[in-house]
Amino acid sequence: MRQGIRRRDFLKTLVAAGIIGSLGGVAKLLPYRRVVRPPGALVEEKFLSQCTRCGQCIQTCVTGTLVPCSLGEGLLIWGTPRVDPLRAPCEAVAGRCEISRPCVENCPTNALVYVEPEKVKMGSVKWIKENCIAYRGGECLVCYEVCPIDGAITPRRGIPVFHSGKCIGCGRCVYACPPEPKALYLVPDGERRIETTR
Amino acid sequence: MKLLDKLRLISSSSTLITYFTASLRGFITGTTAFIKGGLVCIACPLGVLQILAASLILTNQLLLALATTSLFLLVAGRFFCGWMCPTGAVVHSTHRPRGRRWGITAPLAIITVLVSSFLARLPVLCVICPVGIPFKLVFAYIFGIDIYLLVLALAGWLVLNAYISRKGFSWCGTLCPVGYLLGLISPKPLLHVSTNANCTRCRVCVLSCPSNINIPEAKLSDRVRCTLCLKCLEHCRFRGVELRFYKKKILG
Ligand code: SF4
Ligand code: SF4
Ligand code: SF4
Ligand code: SF4
Ligand code: SF4
Ligand code: SF4
Repeated sequence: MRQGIRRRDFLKTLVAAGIIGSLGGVAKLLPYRRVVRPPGALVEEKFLSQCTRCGQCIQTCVTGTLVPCSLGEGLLIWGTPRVDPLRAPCEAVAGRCEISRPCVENCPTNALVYVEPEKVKMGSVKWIKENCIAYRGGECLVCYEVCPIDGAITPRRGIPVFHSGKCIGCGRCVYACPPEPKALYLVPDGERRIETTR
Repeated sequence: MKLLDKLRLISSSSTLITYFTASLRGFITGTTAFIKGGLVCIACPLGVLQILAASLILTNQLLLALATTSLFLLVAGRFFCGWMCPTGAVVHSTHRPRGRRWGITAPLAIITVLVSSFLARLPVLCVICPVGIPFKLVFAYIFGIDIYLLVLALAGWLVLNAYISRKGFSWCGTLCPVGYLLGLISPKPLLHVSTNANCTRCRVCVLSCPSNINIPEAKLSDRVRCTLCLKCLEHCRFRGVELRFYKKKILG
């Protein structure tokens, strides 16, 4: 009673496999959000091809800043890590992760690699002045106090001025910014990503 | 529901619960693609192959995990499929075998996944893996990520599974590329089912097998599909099927 494969069924299966296979090919065209990646992430296309969505980086992050991207942010980046400064900042520069970065060390696929602290640039911060306590006449500059980078924030008459070229996108200022809603948010603009896995 | 299927549901939900608790407590990290606990790590072999196809990269950590996983497979084969995979538990307890099998679909599914990963330069199945979704749900829950789309994806898979099942095919026995690859790595593990002298060749076992394996005369290529679900053992009226560890009978 062993059932042989009928020729027609075989062809149907082949066609189905072909269609499903090419669906995978066009999946690349699906839209997804640009997010702030952990330090030392490969350029996005390589990152997406190498990251197996295992979550090691997310679970071993020292500060807990990493979260998995949700399905709503795009099927293609679903489950990949992003920096969420509302949970915690990233301490790759001037913090606990200067020398050894658990997110990088635990990444089994080298989608994240170690880069020197001077070369870390995950993105930059954006200012919504309407929400800023200092801009509205109060006293604050908490962002200036917590920023580890010289010249990324320079106060002028008690109001912070942000220099996105210098900002490394660590998220400390966003995390610390007191008003609700916050006057700061993190974007991947200006990020420096890694071309090759060494 | 049969006793075995009840046990299967209990054992696979315990797997999820154990995964959940161990993750929460930090004993283990990662999802099915790559799980690490202390010095031990395991990886989904198809995940590793997909990364290889998508980016032509193979790292030491992946190789190490692949070795550990293969070791487990050499001992217990597709025990994961029969007793740990939540998706598999759904399949095994709902599918009614109708003696249909299509030997070519699962290997073709593996090839499709790999070719499509290569073309898309993405580990395509890892993105939407039906085996991994239950674990990812737990993971998303822990991190407070919205899970409604995940639940939707799971529902989509259930519909697909119902369709395949109505046609008489079992997802685990005929389509799941992950399960088939696990079997390919270890077609005849130390833990396996075999017929003994009591077997009368009545073929009840064959008809009860979700993978439609001809157990009395199983070849290696058939054994690849065996999920160690033990339905054959349960249905045999002559105690003719037994579960063995190497050559020693341990059940049946
Ligand atoms: S460098 Fe440290 S803080 Fe930053 S993402 Fe990695 S583990 Fe987390
Ligand atoms: S540890 Fe590496 S492979 Fe795993 S999710 Fe993070 S970046 Fe991706
Ligand atoms: S401006 Fe904010 S995000 Fe940029 S480096 Fe300073 S603290 Fe980090
Ligand atoms: S911490 Fe926030 S509210 Fe305070 S000065 Fe900086 S941007 Fe304005
Ligand atoms: S065949 Fe696939 S879905 Fe079925 S139990 Fe095995 S891994 Fe899970
Ligand atoms: S041979 Fe027996 S244990 Fe293996 S899949 Fe078939 S019914 Fe299950």
